[in-house]
Amino acid sequence: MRAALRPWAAVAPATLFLLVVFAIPIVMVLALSFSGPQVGVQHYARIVTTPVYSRVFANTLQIALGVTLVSLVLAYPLAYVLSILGTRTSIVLLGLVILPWFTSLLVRSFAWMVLLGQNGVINRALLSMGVIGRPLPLLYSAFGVYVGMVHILLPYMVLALYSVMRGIDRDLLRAAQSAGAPPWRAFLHVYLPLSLPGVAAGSLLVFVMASGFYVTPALLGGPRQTMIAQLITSEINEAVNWEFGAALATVLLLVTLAGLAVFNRFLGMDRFLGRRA
Amino acid sequence: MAEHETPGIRGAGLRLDAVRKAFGSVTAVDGVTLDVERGIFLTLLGASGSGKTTMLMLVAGFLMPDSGAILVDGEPITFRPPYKRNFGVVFQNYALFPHMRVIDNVGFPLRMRGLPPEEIRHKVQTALELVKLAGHEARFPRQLSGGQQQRVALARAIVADQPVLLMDEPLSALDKQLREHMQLELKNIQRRLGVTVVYVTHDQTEALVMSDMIAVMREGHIEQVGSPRDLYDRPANRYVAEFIGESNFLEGTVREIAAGDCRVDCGGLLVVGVCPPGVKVGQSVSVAVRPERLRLQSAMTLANRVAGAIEEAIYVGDAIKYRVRVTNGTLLTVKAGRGGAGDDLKPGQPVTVGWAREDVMFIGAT
Repeated sequence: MRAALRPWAAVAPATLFLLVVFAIPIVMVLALSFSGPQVGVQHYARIVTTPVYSRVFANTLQIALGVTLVSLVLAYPLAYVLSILGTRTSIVLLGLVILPWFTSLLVRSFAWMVLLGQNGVINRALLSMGVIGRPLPLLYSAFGVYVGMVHILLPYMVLALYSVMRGIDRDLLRAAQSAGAPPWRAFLHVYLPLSLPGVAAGSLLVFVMASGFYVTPALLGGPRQTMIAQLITSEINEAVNWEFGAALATVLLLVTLAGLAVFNRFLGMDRFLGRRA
Repeated sequence: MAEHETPGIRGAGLRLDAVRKAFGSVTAVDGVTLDVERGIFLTLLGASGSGKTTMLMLVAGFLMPDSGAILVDGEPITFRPPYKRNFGVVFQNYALFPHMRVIDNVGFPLRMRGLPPEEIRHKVQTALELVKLAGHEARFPRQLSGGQQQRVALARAIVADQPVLLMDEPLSALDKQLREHMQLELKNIQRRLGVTVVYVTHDQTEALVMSDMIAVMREGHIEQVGSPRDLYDRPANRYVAEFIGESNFLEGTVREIAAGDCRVDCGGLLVVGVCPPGVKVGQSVSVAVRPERLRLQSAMTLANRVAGAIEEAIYVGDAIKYRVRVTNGTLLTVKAGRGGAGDDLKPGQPVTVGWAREDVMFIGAT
């Protein structure tokens, strides 16, 4: 009896914690979103019928996907190089990759404002060199949002890719080459498929986190880069419309889950995450 | 040896010419010259760190030598990338593609060569039948036992009619019984295909069982190349004699040469052996006798006879090893087969140890 109970006892604290801070609040948010002046789906009806909300949701998805893609393209070669270096060198370089985590997200977003602004370091440098005639719209633009978000999310992608790439046997590439595959075909047929679990895990992580981003788009983006988290905040903080905020949060959750389902279709995460390649 | 022009031979001849490879200050391969004839099973035998794996990697093209040349049938391939060498390679851990089924693993070299699907299917089938793995096409590598994975790796390395097969300790991960079985099977397949094999191992028994030729490596160079029998019966030096099999080593001085026989005084023990050419009276020599060539009999007509007493008896199943202290104080190891004269001797028992003139090996003398 006691032996059978022990595993449950071990996970009980975590389960309790998640129940209190995650499961119960989610249920409360759900309940809240169907209430308000009267019980019903009026908040959802408003989201569906008001064009601004669907546009912001589309924005959010587009930015989250774009940031995920850019992070992936930047992180893949970086993680690859890290994975083939000696243990000591790779640990030092990984430390550098996660170094930005030691600074707060807010500070880093403000730092980007200093760099990207109309009179920011970059624009002034380019102007003085005569490369450009007038300042580039680096800040309060899609560019600013992408730079800020990729900067913050890149380490997650690198770490997810690195952990999988580290486990890929180097002899497999040798085997492919001795079997007649030039390096690019060895990569395409052997390395890439084996690194997909890392691609899936990293993309998933970055996409989910990017979908809920608030500070960076608020500081570095313009009105057209408004993301859904900003709307939720303004509904709750400014309009003090908790019920509508809850409905927006619920839709965000559903949209994120739908995004995951799409990821799963393309990358087959459930197939990969469950077992070691 | 003559050129093997049997029709069944598809193997290519390999030549390494003064090949040198260093990693930083460590010289892994130190100017090795080696000829591997077509269709021969050659083993690079050596302890870890002897440079044998580096040699194989150089031949495979995964490493480039600092100097020297590698030739296939006379054609230099020293700096040709591995994917243009057309060699089959079997790795120590098999290196099967985990995301591909057996059929796709074996078919991979053929797909890379752009063969039509029908031909690929046919060749994969033939290769799988050869390694006795037909019926497992749809399995993934992780669904196979170690021995079966080994067979898939072998099939992949021969499926494209590669003329050279390189193997890096391919059997070391298997248990003893399976390993011994695979040794014979590998040898059998090699003989049937006539493929040239370069095989790396540290296991001397494996090398003796499988090889046509063995190159004993040590610290980046080759100590001796020869047939298993050459190496065992005529080791070029003490290292080879110790590495392959066991030996009783005796140091002594040549006292007399008569009728082709040398009489060597080894600290009071007089050893008679067939004199190698060039040995002179008064010369210091090192002689060795294999434990299984020593006999324990009282009435013997052998050229060498010495009295002694059993000091220790070690039972090893198919034989008994005795340590015998002979009259001059030397300790000899005698390996006596079961059922013979020395089946059940006890420590302290007096014996006569005898051996033939022909069994005396002069180490290092030519």
